[in-house]
Amino acid sequence: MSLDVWTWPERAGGLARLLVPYIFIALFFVLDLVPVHIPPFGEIRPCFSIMSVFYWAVYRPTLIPNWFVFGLGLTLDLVSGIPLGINAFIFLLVYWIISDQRRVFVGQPFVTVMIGFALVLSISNFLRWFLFSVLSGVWPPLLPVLGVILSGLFIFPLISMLLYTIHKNFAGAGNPDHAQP
Amino acid sequence: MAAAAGLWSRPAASFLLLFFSVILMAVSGAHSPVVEQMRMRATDMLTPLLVQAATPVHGAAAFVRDVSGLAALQSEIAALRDENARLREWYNRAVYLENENSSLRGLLQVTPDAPHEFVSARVISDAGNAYVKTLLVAAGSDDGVEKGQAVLSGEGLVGRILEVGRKSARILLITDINSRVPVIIQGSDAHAVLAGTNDDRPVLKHLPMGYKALEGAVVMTSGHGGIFPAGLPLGKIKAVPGKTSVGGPVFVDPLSDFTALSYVKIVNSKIDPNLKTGVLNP
Repeated sequence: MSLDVWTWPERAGGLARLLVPYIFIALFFVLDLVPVHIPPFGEIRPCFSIMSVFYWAVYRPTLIPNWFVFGLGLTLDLVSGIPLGINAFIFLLVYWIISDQRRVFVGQPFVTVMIGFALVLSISNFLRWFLFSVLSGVWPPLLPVLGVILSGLFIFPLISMLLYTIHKNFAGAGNPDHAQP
Repeated sequence: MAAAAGLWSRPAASFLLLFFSVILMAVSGAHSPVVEQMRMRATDMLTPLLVQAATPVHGAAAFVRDVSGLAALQSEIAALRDENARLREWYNRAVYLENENSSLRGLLQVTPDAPHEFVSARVISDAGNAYVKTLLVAAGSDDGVEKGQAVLSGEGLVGRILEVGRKSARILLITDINSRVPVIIQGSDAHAVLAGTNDDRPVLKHLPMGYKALEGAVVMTSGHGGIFPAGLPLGKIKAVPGKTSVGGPVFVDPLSDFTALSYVKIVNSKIDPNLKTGVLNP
């Protein structure tokens, strides 16, 4: 269907389908930064951005290009104060590997996706800790890193449910090819 | 977008971007001033967004606190907290004046410190990350904020300005592993350096030989080094079960709760330019 025969509601729907996933990626990015004022959540706040990177890499790898994933990580590096390139490297690596191996997760029960995410989250957090330590010359305590991993695992089913709803209604034709969490 | 995605989804493009990330890490690790400028420029651009985002999140956090069974006591607690903060400021002021007074008694001639002005700034990004203990505030060089200035809360010293943009600045908290603050322990002439550990409690280093730390003693800035004004309270010496031992590390409980900071005060004092650049003029 060409664009000139679309009605206004159809055009608005098309625009929403294009923008809503990006709006939520931006929202998760902001959630990674804003002060939460609820101790100790600030210390062990999960990385929301990596959840959206993982989700879209599995279920809709064509939605976000890899330069966008790189830019997302780099902006997080710039604003959060850690050495540049760490999150850019990790986000891109996760997106590349997961989108390449997505057949492992697509159409599988949610528990399979959860196990995959647990692996990705653990490896990416320890990699971030290692890269930060090597680059800054100080080795921060590991306990908060474990807290970040656990809080991420705890909240991922909720985030996954939210992204599933967005995916179903805005980011693709028909139902996404996975089980609802 | 789809065409761009197709082009950039090629493994070669991903590999190039990964390689670029590694180069960025190497450049960033060298602490280049260009990186610092880039960082603050990006932060300046995102400041309006973060200021807007902080408002509902702050409201949501207050809501969570309200519904956690203390709703009825919330207003009373808030009023008491305000009063407590005011009294604490007076207490700190009194302790400072008492110290100053006793020092002045011992001296006949002394050059008084220049009076300080303050810039109040809203906290727009959290200290919450396992790697760096920093805060972003919505005040920058346009508001008179400069690198190295001391940052206070109602309770005591929070940290110092690490990076400055036009509209935003990054504060290095006293708990950050890279933070070092010259301090003096109240009621003694013991000087030390308060070193961050990335944990909740920084430790005192370079204490005088044989010094016995008393739990509850207030730790204040000594003013040595010229970065921090003298007499700003930071925390109290705390015995930590399982960690504190004779000859072991001396822990300090910060007076400020860094997770609950909404606003901070930046001491707008002129800092010797040599201290900022680290280069002495001949």
